[in-house]
Amino acid sequence: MITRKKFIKIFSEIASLSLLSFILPSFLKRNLEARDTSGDGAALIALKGGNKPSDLLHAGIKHLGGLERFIKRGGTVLIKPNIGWDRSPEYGANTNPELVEALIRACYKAGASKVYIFDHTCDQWQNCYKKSGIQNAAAKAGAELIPASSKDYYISTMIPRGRILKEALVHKLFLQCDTVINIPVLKHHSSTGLTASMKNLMGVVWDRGEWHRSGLHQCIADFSTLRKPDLIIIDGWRVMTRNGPRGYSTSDTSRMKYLFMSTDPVIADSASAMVLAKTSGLKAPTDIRYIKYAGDMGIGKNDLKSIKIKRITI
Amino acid sequence: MKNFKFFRIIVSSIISVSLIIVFTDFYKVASSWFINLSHFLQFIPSFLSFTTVISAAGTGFIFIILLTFLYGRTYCSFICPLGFFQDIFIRLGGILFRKKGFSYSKPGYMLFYSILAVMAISFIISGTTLLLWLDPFSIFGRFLTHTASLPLMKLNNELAGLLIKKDIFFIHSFEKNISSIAAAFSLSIFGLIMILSMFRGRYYCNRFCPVGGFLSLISRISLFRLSIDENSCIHCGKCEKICKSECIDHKTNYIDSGRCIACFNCLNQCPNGSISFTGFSPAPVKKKTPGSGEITRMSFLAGIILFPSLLQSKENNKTVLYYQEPLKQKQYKRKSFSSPPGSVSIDLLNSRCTACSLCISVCPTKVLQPSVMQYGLIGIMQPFMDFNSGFCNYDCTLCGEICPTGAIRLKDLDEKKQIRTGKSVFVIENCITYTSGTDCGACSEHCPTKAVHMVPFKNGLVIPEINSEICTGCGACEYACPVRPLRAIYVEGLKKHDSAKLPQVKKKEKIIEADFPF
Repeated sequence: MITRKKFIKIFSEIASLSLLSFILPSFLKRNLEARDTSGDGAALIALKGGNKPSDLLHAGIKHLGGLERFIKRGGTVLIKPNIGWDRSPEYGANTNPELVEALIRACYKAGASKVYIFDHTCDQWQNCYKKSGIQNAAAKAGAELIPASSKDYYISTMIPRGRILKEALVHKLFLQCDTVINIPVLKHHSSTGLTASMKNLMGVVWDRGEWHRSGLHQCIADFSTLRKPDLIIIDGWRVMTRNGPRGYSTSDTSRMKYLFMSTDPVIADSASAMVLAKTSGLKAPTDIRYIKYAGDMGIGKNDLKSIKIKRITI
Repeated sequence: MKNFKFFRIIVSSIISVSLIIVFTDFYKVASSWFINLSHFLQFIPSFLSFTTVISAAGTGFIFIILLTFLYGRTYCSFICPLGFFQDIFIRLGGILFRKKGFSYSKPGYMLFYSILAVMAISFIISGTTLLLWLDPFSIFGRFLTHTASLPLMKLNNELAGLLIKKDIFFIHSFEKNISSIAAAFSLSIFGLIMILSMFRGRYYCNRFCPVGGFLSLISRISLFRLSIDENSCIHCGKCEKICKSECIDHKTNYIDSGRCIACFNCLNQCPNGSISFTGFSPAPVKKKTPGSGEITRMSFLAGIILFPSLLQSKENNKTVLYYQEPLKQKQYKRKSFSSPPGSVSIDLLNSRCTACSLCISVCPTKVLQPSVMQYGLIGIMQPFMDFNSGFCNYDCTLCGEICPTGAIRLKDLDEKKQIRTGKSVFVIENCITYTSGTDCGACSEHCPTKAVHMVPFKNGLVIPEINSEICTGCGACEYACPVRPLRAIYVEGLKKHDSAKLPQVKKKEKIIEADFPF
């Protein structure tokens, strides 16, 4: 028998679910549409030069018109660097700690209430956090460095637009935080050719082996349909041009002093791919298969000629 | 003199608690100097380490010998962590079972010293094979690492799980490979000793323990010892009831200094203050010297503990832990498992390691796991590299820094980077790129030396290739390989480690400030 209490409960559930189904498409649309990266219609801000990575960051943010555009006052921010390896900064295997520190400060300045950082590392996570210098950077600038080393942090999430990756265990902070800023380091990668922004999101899921098993390139593209980071900053200060993603010695890196900013992960990765063009023999960004798939799936643009690029040299 | 007991409790608590911290340090707070300090005075580890390489770090046992010569078997009551745990259970047993307290028992010196002799001879012949079963430090260490850490970690993980739901990230949970055989093995030896202690006090210490046996030889001639003043003694028997070594006979005022562990419980118990811890007094004449050559219940028990190790098998490669299914996979069998870097060879590890499991506790990547049959029964519970649970970090020498016995010895990082503990073997028939035509390359991604590197395959795909010269056998490739049940790349352990070449490094970092490439 359905009592009044039960009836109200069922009714409210139906009501809330239908409400959600109304809101969800518009929410997804808002998140999936490429926003202008800068105010003047440029989809990519490319910077180079300077004395340290943070110089480029500050110049970029200035051109963006401030991080306030992406961070709501009192909101939480997730900064997702690449901290995958137990390597010190000079090897270029992880995102530059000086850059991360400057970004944390910029986020707080823009009104963030809390800045979180994590990465599901490949090497032992405490060693990675420490040796990459990110732990120190987070401590100095006041961000909270969260582990991602156990399943407890991950929530099973559907990926409705994924072609082969339909479901994944995703770190709860990636789903919860109001703003996500993806700040990978630009590196050569032995199997995908390149690792930059979309590949960096492998560090927010629990089972990476699954991606390797079922088609790495397609899974990378699929995952980017779940939640597009609000801003992508590519750290190209030190670029590992071979032996990636871990690198063996400092001779694997070149100091190129680049920094790219975009709200479109495919544009950001396409620009990154071209940086490696000379050393790895690529002709177009679409030679990297996941960039091609992502373009085909409408995640972003992979043709750099069709977009407006703001080039800044310091 | 009343303070002696208090002093003992403080000292043994400090030593044992710091060892407990070291063995259950999930958060990796303890640094290696603290770890080394905490086990500095442990007798067998320090002795073994001294026999491997003579250094200041292994001189703890000399202090113990001197200490014993001066004050008797204070090691057993002040320093030994297994003794500390027994004392807790003795107290517990006193409340639960032993209403009347202890009473003087005949010494089991026959058993005691024959175990010591067997240990000594077997150590000279085959190293630590037998010692592994009876060394108090290792029994304690194994219990903490494989058994006690399980509920502790569970508690931590439950708590962390609750807090994570509330977005509090102060503590975090851990993944642990639970080896039920290791847990059962360590619990059974530890548990047996603890149950015994509840009824018979320090029975293990005075019948089986090789350290106790050795020190009792010295404590018989120690300068300071407990003695009962004949004149003031009223023969109330309180000292005998409290004596957990069962070595005081109140009727004859005899204290057996070979078994007395200098716990000082009797000092406080004596109503007249007749017992004193004083300098050398002429050794009291023993009125009863009962021999105990016959096979008793307890020597039978000792036989049970010792028996399995006599059945040691030499077949190191018989068991492969992988679950295998008759699939389309190409079948292979690992011939030998890898021993930790710095152990030089499996044989040397087997003969130097007492399986205290400290390396397994501290290993940051959890690649070190207790062996069950990987080395055969001879090396049971000794560490082996399990690439199911982790891989050896290229830039880490922690196990070699903290190994109490010197079985694993790593001097510096540069040296370690050239130690080859195994060789990677690539099984192309099982590789994802080969079977399903997609890119993977997880093995090459993780390879620290790029011994595993990607070469062009077909259709624009890349496939791994191994340069054996620079492969160290760290197992990163095997750990990362997503193929199951058998992997497409695995490490064949080397029975005797050799050295790998360092990868060629060309120049320093280049500085290229070119224009934008787009």
